[in-house]
Amino acid sequence: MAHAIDQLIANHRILICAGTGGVGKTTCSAALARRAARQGRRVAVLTIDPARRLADALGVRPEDDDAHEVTASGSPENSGSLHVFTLDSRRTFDRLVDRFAPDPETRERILANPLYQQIVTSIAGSAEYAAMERVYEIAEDDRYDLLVVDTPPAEHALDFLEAPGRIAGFLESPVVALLLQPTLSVGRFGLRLFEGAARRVLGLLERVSGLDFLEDLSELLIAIESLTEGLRGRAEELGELLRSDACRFLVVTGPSSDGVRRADGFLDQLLAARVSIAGVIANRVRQWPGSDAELSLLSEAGPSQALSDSLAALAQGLSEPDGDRLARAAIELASGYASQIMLDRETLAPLQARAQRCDWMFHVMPELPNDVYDLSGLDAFGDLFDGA
Amino acid sequence: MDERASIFAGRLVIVTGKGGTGKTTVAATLAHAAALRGLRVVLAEVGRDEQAPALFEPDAAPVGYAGREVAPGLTAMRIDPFAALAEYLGMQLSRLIADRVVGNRGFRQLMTATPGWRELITLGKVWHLEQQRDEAGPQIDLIVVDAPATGHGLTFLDVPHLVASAVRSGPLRRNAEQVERLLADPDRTRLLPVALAEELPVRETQELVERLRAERSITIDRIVVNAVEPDPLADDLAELPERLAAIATAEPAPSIRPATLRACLAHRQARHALHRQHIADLGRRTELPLVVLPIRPGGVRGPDDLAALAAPLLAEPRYVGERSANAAGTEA
Repeated sequence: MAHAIDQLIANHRILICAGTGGVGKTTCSAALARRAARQGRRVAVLTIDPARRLADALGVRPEDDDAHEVTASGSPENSGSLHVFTLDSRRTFDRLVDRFAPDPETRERILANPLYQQIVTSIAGSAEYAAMERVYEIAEDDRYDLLVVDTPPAEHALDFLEAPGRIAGFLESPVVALLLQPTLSVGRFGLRLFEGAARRVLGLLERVSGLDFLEDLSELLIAIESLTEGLRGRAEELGELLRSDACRFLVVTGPSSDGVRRADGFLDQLLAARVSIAGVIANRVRQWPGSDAELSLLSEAGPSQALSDSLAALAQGLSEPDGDRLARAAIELASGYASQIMLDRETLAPLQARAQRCDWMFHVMPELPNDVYDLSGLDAFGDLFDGA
Repeated sequence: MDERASIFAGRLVIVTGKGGTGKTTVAATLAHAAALRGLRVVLAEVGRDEQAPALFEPDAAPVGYAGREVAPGLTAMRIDPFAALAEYLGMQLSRLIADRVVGNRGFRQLMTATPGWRELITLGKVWHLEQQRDEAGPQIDLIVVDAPATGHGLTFLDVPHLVASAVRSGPLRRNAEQVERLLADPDRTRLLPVALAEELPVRETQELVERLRAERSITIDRIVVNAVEPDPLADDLAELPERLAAIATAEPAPSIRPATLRACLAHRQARHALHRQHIADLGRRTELPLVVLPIRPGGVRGPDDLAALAAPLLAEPRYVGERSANAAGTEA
């Protein structure tokens, strides 16, 4: 029987790796993509911010969101391919403006607005929105059978899922609707004429923010409003795509208690968003090199008869000079490692139990003694998905 | 250590770093150590989740915007941007109007999508805490801010400057300038980046340091490298691997096999070597002295762990890797 991970790769068009930063999400995504390509799939991987050496290995240049075909080194025997895309929020937004602007003047007005650049790079969820937009673009492209997505590190999975809807919803809020009235561009006098609660809010904003800012914001919003219909339609299409059977989510986490808590939260949020969860990848989990009996003996708190017998035997084996001291040190070092292993297991246990209950896969990927920085390292890492 | 060089010399320490670096642990350790020295400390978290208070009082209720004393002399709080905005507007207008405005759904939606104000109002609150005085002087000796994880686009610290340059006039601009001055004051404010001995955090820390240096916008005098695997052979144990390898297999079978011990040792040695390489890289790239915190095998869960981390965190920062003549001069 094929590994669960290979069934996942074979049967879906989009795999989204979600999770907080610093858990090796990019490496996992890239390794999955390589594995799929080596199995003959035509794969695109959308990655957000690969470590430099991994980026080099994948042939990605910084500040470039075009596709790069990864050379086929290490995979001569199949017809699969791997293209790597990186994300540039600004350019993705520029393309959106290009596509949905009703006329060239509006397009220019948006791109030239002093707040535009700040809005598109810092608006809550803009990186997530840009990622979603890219997902849509690439998923539509029939040159690829599979898209693996390395999502931007987010505090909440919903940042990613809700981004398209949030942008559309934002444009419908009453205060924004008021800002969208061209009267505001008349300036202070226009503002004075306003009545009603929302208008008082605007008056207040004017007082604390200064009017220039409001004028710039209003102008930008008026211009963006003309894109709304396109954006709203796109948000719905994206939502459908993500909830379709073609798409599966994987949550990547590390073995820390904080990581597990966040992974749990992500899973809750994904369930609430009614997308399909394939499973959890617990990455960077320390592996015990010995037997279970050794592990429990070494990780026991406090001294035991068995441990002191072991210590004596070891000291005898090490013999003179210094056998006692070296034996003690060796046991202590191994104990430290053993208690880390136990801690990792204990920390991951609730998450693993949850995965089992929900019939999700639960993959443990080991902590490596070295960084993954080339294709063969990536392939070796990808091979570790065998050990499910 | 020289008083001026102490991490406690200023009024404000902003702890920053990528998610997962242990930034919150470092901020809590620092605040805890300062309070133990008799300073009146505020530990302010920024972000949606409260994490620091659990390190002091497991399972306690959230501390919220009002804050609560979680250890003698140490108040923990979470700066919620909307609460800070209500307080700010309340000072400018009236509390009643401010609460109504901030509670208005349309207003919240507008603010949710408006860039920069969260960062600005959060730093504005920090500025306000720093300004609080009574007859005896400042009411708070040290403010430790657990800044949001550094990510893409705008960073937390860029915002005051951006607002001051993007907004042409008005109170918003004045406030942004006040915050900017506080951040840039080397006597009051320091940024404490927390990195891990891994490739990506090292590169991002280098980029952060280079950018802030070029802008001269905030003082950085050391970098914390967290969760570092210590040298397993440091205690005069260089011969241990060989000696373990030399144990005759004919010995009466011990319940812990030498091969297992060797494998544990080898893994720890490899991790240590990898960490050391990244630490040297960080030292070389930033030309800043480093403070190295050893990994806590059991994790960091309570005040005992914080106390154990305090000594290495407060130790004299050390230059690692090659240094330029210029950097060497500042060490003296």
